[in-house]
Amino acid sequence: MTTNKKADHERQLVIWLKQQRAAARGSLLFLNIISIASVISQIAFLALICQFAQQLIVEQTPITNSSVVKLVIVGLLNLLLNYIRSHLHSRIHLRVSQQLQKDLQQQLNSRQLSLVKQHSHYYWQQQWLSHIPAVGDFVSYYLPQQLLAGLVPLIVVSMLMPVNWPVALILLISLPIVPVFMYLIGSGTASVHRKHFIALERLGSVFFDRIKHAELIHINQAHEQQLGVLQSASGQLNQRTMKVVSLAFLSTTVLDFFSTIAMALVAVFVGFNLLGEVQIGSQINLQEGLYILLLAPLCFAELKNLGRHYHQKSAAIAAAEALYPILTNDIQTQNHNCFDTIDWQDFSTQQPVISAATLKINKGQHIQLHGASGAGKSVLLEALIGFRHATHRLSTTTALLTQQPVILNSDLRTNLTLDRDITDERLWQVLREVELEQWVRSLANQLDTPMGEHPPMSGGQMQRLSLARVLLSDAEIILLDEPTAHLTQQQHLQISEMLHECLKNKTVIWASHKALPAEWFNQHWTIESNKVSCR
Amino acid sequence: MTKFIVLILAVVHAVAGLVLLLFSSWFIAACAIAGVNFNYMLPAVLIRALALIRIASGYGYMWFGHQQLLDELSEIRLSLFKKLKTGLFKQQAQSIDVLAEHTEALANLWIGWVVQNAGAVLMLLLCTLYFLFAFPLSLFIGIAFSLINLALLIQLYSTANKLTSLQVNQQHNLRSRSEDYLQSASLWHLYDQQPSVNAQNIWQTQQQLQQRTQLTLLLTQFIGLILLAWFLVKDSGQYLGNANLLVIVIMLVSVKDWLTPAASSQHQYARYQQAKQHIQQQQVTPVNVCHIPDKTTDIHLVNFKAPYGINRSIDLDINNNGIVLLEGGSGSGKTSLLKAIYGLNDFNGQRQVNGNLIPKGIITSWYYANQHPMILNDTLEANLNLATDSDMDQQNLKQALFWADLTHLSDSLTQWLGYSGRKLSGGEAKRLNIARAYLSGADVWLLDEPFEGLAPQQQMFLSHQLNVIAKDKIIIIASHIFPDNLEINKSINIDEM
Repeated sequence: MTTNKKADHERQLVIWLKQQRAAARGSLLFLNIISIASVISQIAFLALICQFAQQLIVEQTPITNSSVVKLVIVGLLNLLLNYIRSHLHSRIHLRVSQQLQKDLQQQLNSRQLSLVKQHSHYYWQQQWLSHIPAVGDFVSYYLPQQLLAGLVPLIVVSMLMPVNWPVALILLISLPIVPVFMYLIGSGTASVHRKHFIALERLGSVFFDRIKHAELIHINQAHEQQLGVLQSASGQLNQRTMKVVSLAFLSTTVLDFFSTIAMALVAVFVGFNLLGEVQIGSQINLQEGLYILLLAPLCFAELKNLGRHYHQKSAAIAAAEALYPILTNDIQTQNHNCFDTIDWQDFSTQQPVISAATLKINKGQHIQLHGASGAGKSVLLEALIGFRHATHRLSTTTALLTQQPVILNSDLRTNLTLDRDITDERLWQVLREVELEQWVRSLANQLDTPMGEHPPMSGGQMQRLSLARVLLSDAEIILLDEPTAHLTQQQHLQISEMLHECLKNKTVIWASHKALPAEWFNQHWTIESNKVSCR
Repeated sequence: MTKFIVLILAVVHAVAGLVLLLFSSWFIAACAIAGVNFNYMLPAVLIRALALIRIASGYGYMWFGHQQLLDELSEIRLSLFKKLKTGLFKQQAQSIDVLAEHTEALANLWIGWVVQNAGAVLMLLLCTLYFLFAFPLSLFIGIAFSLINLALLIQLYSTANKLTSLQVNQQHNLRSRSEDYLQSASLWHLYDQQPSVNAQNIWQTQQQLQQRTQLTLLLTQFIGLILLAWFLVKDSGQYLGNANLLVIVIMLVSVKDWLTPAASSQHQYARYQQAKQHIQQQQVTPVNVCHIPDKTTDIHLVNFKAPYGINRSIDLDINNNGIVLLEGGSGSGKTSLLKAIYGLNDFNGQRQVNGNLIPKGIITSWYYANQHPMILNDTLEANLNLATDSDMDQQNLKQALFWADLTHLSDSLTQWLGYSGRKLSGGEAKRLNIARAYLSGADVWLLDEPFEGLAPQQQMFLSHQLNVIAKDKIIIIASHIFPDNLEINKSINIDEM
């Protein structure tokens, strides 16, 4: 049952991967035509070679210069086609990757923080560094190669048929056997892999886990103990991996087996035929014999190439696993209007569901949002600003202040303006409002002070700076998501007082599970068991 | 040893493939012009033997090659871990994933590059030798063919080196740019023009590398074609009716097929070098260890200052057992201070224990519990036993779980935690970490934000447990919140300093 589900899921991912061809349809068609032309020119080239062999060795007549010129021209044509092919591969790859990058950026722009925080930074970096190019590889190399692996054997067999039907027939019969064998070995490998899957995952993760947690190992003085753990884990990991790959390699070997044996048998068959020892099919000469010998391996060559690209398929499926759930999300468009009052009925967010029978916000109101940690206060705020899917969203300029202040690794001015056009005068005015003016004046470079990786600020100062940014945004509605969660009681009181004072003229929704004076607020919303109640 | 088996098998595999093709061509040419005395049975057997050798050596090469790769990889990784015996890597968490890729590139050198190129060079040498013995008059074609191809491979090698190091730099830049970008996700909505990330240059470099490889292969074919034309026009007239002719022709025509593995491997060496450099540059910050023979009864910090955070130095005198609270909000530098007291961070000033000046370094009879608890990818049992000197029986471990309010986990001692196992909640992880302190038997505990993420009644419970334990030891707690029932002996507010 679960394996069925997994297979269905994988099929869905492959369909999605194939849809990515849309970014470069024209080039892909062109690539396929060029590839087939290249195979045909190669066969023509080999045919000329065979003719020369017949002349030189059997008929013992020298080759005329004009025939050599013909050979060179056909050869060069083949090289030119292959050159165009490699250019097309790159072009398709870049087109597909760019399109995916654009789609990803759109999703990030639309869901912002609520999307980013679902995964580690490494996970996101892998999207750009490996997942997107993996899809590019799949579309530009693997899929065209798959087509060739299917088509070329048919072309070759049809070219062999008029020359020697028994060889063509044997190839035609044996060709489908190869994929069948590969499939059988593939599914055998998959089942062995499944058997070892969890162990491989766990053992594989152990080593870097211990490096990551080296500090913990020092604290516990457990280096020797953990070295023992690692030694036995890597021994086991290697043993189990070899069990899986020993089987996986058989797949490559089957292909090698068929193509090598085919060549050996064809050589012996042709040789004996030329000697007159064997007589099946029409009598052949050296030209035809060599033609058969050289063309037979071509049947397997593209399949072998496909095998060489095989890792691209698994990489692409892993990439689709990561990209598909992100990119198939609908994008909601944001438009900003002025607002006066909001009166929503049957409000509800998606995943997790937080619902409210009615939500009313009047301009200028201050609303406190209550709820235990984990009740969904952040979810509600992120839905209101539009980072999450919900039945309604605020359609006016909105700013969100979170509990973790972010200080950019650049100078103080950039940290405040965020590349917006804001005069120094206004900056100083806002710094005065958040009571940072004195501190900034005390810095040697004032607004141009670099913040660096370890900003010389306390948590309270950082939160003031964050507030200054929000004030500079001129947003009408301000959402506060536990802005004092990580501060001490005294700091909480100071910062809360300041927020209350500075945001007097704004519409504010303030989530906090630390106590705040009830008289500051016009409304109190409480989230409990996924429902918002208002009073 | 395995290395050489791999090398031999790989070379045999490559050479057998080429020889099979050439020998088969020669065989049918010889058959076509054979006289009555031609012994065709021996070559026919040889052809089949070559085919079998090729298949067997192919599988053997993959099997031994992979075995060698895995052995090498675990050796590299274990030696990396051994470096941490007396220190810590200076780095951020995500660079560890980069480290993983680098160790793979290191281990891959042999089967990824050495073996492929050894095969190519040997085949080029064999081609020249064949000319020498079969067509000494056309030897110059054989030499030119080998030398030009060798030169093309070397040229590709140097281009691949350049492109690969360019790409590694580009990747490094992308990582640090995207790190800043992702870090500031909560600010994006405040920008007029939303920031973005563009990785196109990395993909372009990758494509350039592939195109260069293809171009080199096309050039080898071109050279083969030109030399073939030369041979046909100038020399072939002398050898009419010679079956060996066909060997030369096929050799020149099929050059792409047998040089492809070597050409596509050229960037591996650059990856190896980059990885080697990166791993050598991994700096290890030494972690010293201090042993204090007696139970800690008093701690004095004089003019004490940690590297980050608080600008001023502090003085602290702890003369008896009980709970000491360092109160401060986030960013106040309390983590840095607590780590410095424990000895994980550098400090300025003096640290006196039991009246003795203690140099920089971890004090082995103390226990430090991080703000963000670290859970190893291992069983719960192993995660607890980490803190004990010798593995404890399950009864003791269950007792520790009970003490730390984790009784619901006591039947899960053999359960796997972390990646692809059970995920602990933030509060569970916190309590597990404190259970470790309990098991360690340390006489001083330093706890960083132990109450964060716990529900109010859980905070009360933990606070009670700490009150009891503190009758017999010193517990230093850094926190911005604390429950009312915590019996605080001494308190310092860091924010107000």
